[in-house]
Amino acid sequence: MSNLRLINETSATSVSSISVTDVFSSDFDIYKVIIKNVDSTAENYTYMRFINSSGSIVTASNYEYATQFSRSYNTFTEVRSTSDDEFTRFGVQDTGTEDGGSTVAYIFNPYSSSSYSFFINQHSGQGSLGQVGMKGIGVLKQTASMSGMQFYPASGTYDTVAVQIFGLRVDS
Amino acid sequence: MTITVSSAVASVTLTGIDSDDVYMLAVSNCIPVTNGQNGELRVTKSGTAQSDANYDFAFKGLRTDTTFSNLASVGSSKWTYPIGWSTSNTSAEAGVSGNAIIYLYNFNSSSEYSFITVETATKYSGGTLAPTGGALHKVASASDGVHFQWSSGNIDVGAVFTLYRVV
Repeated sequence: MSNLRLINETSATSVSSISVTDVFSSDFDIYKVIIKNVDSTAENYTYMRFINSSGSIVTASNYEYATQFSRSYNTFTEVRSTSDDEFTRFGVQDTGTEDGGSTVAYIFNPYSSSSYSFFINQHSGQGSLGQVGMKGIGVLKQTASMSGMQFYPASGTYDTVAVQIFGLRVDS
Repeated sequence: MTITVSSAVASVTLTGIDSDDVYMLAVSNCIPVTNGQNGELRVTKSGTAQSDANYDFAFKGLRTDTTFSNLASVGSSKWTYPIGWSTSNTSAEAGVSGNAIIYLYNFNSSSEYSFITVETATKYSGGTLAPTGGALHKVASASDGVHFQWSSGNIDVGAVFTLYRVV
């Protein structure tokens, strides 16, 4: 059996956000997240927030992140924050069906109530000006247990979106 | 292979690379007992960590507090920064840790150098740091694993290291 265990697969159409809940548990320390089939009504970024074990979306200004933007059409840029209420660079998408791109991310220790929740992500997408690659990291600075994640476009809605959550098995 | 640190230790060694597949090292909750340490990663040959001056690395240091850094070296005695970069201990800040996904290439080859790619997310006093990039050990002989330690002091309880064969 593979050490990469599919925990949840969720897709949606015509939604303002997509949430995957009750996917983090004590079974795994590291999770792999894939976002794909993204198509939206407006060109913008995909944002992310964690969902805590009480089922609430975490909106406190405890998100810290840094992203390297690699653009095919312009100079590369850096984006960072040490106190945001969301993670603002999980992906980018334009309005065409063909240009959603995909994101792969690893989430570390989300279920632990004694550790922050760390993540690293990598994305390739298409904006109206050209191809964009993103390499980012971040942390939710709360020693609290998380159970899931919510993804949403900065503006507009998703025409289509799909999320897969995998757990990395370790030997006990 | 998984190693979970149940009491503070000076180092962790994971071996067992014996095929030409790509391997992946996943590390979570790695915390130094002593505050503010860098991670040090080395290859092992026949289970022994190699400390020769043949380690090259080039990482982009993503960081949340200021302009990204370039972290590079030629001819070092180890790969510095995988898993940790000035990483805080839990006395300095509860909840901190070093975490990483590291891919290992050509380790089993007797005619190739050993290469790695690194993605790290770690917390220090000023923000979150992420050394990201590639590195190699310039000795054309088979490597069978990796050895990790902090630049000073022990690895704290709770760190989990797992070596996967990617098939």
